[in-house]
Amino acid sequence: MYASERSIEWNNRVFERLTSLSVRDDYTPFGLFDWPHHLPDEEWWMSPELLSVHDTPLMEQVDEATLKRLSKWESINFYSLNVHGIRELLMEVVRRIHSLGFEEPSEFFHRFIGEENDHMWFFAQFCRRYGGKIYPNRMIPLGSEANDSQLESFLVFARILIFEELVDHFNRRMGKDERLHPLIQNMNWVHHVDESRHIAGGREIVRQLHRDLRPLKADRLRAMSDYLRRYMAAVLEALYNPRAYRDAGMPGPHQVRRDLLGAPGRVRHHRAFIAKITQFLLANDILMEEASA
Amino acid sequence: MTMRTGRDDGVSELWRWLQGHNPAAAQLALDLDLDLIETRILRSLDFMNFILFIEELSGIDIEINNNNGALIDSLRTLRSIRDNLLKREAQ
Repeated sequence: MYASERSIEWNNRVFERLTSLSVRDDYTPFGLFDWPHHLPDEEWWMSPELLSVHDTPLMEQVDEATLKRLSKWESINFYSLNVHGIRELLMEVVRRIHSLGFEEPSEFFHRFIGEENDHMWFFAQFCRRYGGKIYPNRMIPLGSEANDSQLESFLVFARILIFEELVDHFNRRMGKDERLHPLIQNMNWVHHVDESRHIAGGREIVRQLHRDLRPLKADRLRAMSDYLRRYMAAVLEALYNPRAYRDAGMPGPHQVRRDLLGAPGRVRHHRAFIAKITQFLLANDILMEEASA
Repeated sequence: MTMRTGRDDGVSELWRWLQGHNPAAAQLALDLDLDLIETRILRSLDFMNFILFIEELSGIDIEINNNNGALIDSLRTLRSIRDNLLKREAQ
């Protein structure tokens, strides 16, 4: 047996600090950004070093105009992933707020839900205004991953944390990349600032929920680790969207995706995208070995 | 059980894909009516690549979202994938 959700010993000081920072920096996104009528296709929409073709032969083979178009559609893919990811995490947090075991972080959850709603709004605005669409969601849960509520909660918050830390790698870079339009820089930076609080809270939640799972048998802990490694690989693969290649005018978009995912030059970038979260999960014995990137 | 064969069928290729991605499917025979979701032969984390594979095979864009239960149901068995998604290729 392991601790029931009733007896989770949260580190409330962490949540109180994060909640008061969130209240202090409160903002509404609706008047925060200047939305230009048009963003030119001839500019970078995403840092070229973050493109899925970076460090592959394709980067040399396609002209700069195509790369810039790709940066537009890969940015629309990135923000679309955010919209869908936020919808999933909101549903999971709303399901748990003020429920047994989660009473104490609930004040933090209120701030989290409000801010995530803001993020989903501005990412969706960007996709619809400048891409005319949100790419469809492909990471759809087909049922519960665990037949146990505490294990399920752990996996939910671990997935949220992995997703947020991967996204933050991109936000931190694009938020300070002066090659990008000021709107793109601002949006990424605003997201990064909020996410740094969410990541701190998420790490606390994941650490605590995992601590309470330690009495589980070794094979179940191993299965959890394997599942999270597969999740990390799936999130990385979601950055490679054939529709973005097609919208950028690249022929054979499915083959492009396969070629890029198999390109040796991508391995070190995948490792960099998930370096911080991997280090956290390994240090807390949540992952038993690194995800194969 | 009847099964069409030939290049336009695609079912065998889908089954081979599933067997390649989930060891639990490796020893099973192809069954058009096996519930791929209920049996977890198709797992959440493989869903994205499975959809992309069907799109490549059929040449159609699959518009699916979380609230579209009918489309998820159309992915539940190889028969429904064949009838609802792969057949559109020939239309």
